[in-house]
Amino acid sequence: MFDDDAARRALQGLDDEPAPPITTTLDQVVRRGKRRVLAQRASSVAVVVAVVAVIGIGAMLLRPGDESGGGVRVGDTPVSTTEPTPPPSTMPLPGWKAIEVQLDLDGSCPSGVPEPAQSHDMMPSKDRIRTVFTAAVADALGTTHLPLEWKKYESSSAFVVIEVAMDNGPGQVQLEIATYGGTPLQAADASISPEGTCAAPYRRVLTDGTVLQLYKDVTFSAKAPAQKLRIYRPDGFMYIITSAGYSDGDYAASGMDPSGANPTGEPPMSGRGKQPLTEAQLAIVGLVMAKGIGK
Amino acid sequence: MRGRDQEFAEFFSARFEGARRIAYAMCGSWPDAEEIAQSAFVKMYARWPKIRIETVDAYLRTVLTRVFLDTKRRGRAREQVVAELPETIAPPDAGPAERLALRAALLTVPPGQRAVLVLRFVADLSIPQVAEILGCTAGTVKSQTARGLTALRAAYGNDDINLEMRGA
Repeated sequence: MFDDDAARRALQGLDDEPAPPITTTLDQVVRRGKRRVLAQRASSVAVVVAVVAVIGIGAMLLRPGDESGGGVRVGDTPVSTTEPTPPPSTMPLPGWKAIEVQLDLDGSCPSGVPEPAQSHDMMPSKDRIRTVFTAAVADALGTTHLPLEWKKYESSSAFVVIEVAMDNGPGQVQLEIATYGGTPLQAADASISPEGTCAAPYRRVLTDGTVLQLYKDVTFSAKAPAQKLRIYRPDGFMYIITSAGYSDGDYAASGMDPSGANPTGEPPMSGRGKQPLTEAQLAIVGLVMAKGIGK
Repeated sequence: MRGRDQEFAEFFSARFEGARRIAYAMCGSWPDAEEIAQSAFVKMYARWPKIRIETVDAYLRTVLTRVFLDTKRRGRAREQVVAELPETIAPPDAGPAERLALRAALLTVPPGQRAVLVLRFVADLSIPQVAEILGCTAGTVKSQTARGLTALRAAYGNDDINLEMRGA
């Protein structure tokens, strides 16, 4: 039997292989590191400059015209000063913002590094999670028949799925709960591109400090698409909600164990070719979940 | 108080080779392993003032694994199944045939599961440590380990991998 101890002995044998000489020098690393620091600072400055410029230009455009010049007249009706024009929403729901993904110097997606997990509050009870998760998915889908199955419930982690019937078969809304380190914003920043797609996620910050991050579709498999949303709550728990166009049967058919979420985001080989939730519905599930679980 | 660069230089000298070996176990190519390790150290340098010394090794493993997984994800669309294994995993002066066969089998394991196997069994880390590195739960590490071992066994084509390989 190839158990853990046997695997350890066998795989550690690979470490005996002779290695070619190291070609990387400390100077190379420090040089690239300094360039990276400079690029990060330059990007920060550029963002600030861009924001100031946009605010300045916006203020100029919205300023009522006068004869002395300098302002641009916006129609004949004076602009209301009590009801400012809201910025255009680029998101499925108001209040979400696209987060800029700054590529590394070598053009690769940023590989953020999470802070080590720290002390956290008590895990919400099973009943609480079941109630809020089911209500959140029901709100989004407008249906009440939502079979829920616990895959795991431990002191600092849990995994539960709701099977959703689609016209061509079952999909799932999955919820994984785990702890994280740092503040919600730090953790969200460290997971800008967890799937390595470089696609800009959308973010919403709630008044209690909770951060929601909605990612674009995972397109590794057209047959088994998925989209994820992460909730970082100030209590030290993160909630990963996945709208999965596949179910346990697809994992089993692909020789994969359906009992645990997959950290690499690798889907099974088969699926429905579409997701049970639209992007807007996934955002609703996230919002209801984030607000409900903290009560 | 020592300067930032001096501290980093000592860290680089002490840890680069180990990091490169871990990267090699994950990717199976010495040039790629060198690049992965170098990128990890570059990222470490950029954040060096914020890294606590007591967690620096864990941090390095985290960065190294993320760089590897990012590399594999970016290259995933370009990867093709080939009948012959690439030369980099079977150099003519390599060790015993069993070791080469095991390395070839390991490279067929999906990258995420491979990273878990390498961190658990080559780097000899505990399940909670691997969970922290991958930003997932301990249960996920266990299931990924099980899947990875199943895939490794299938690729190796033999349930009874020679456990005496280490001494071979």
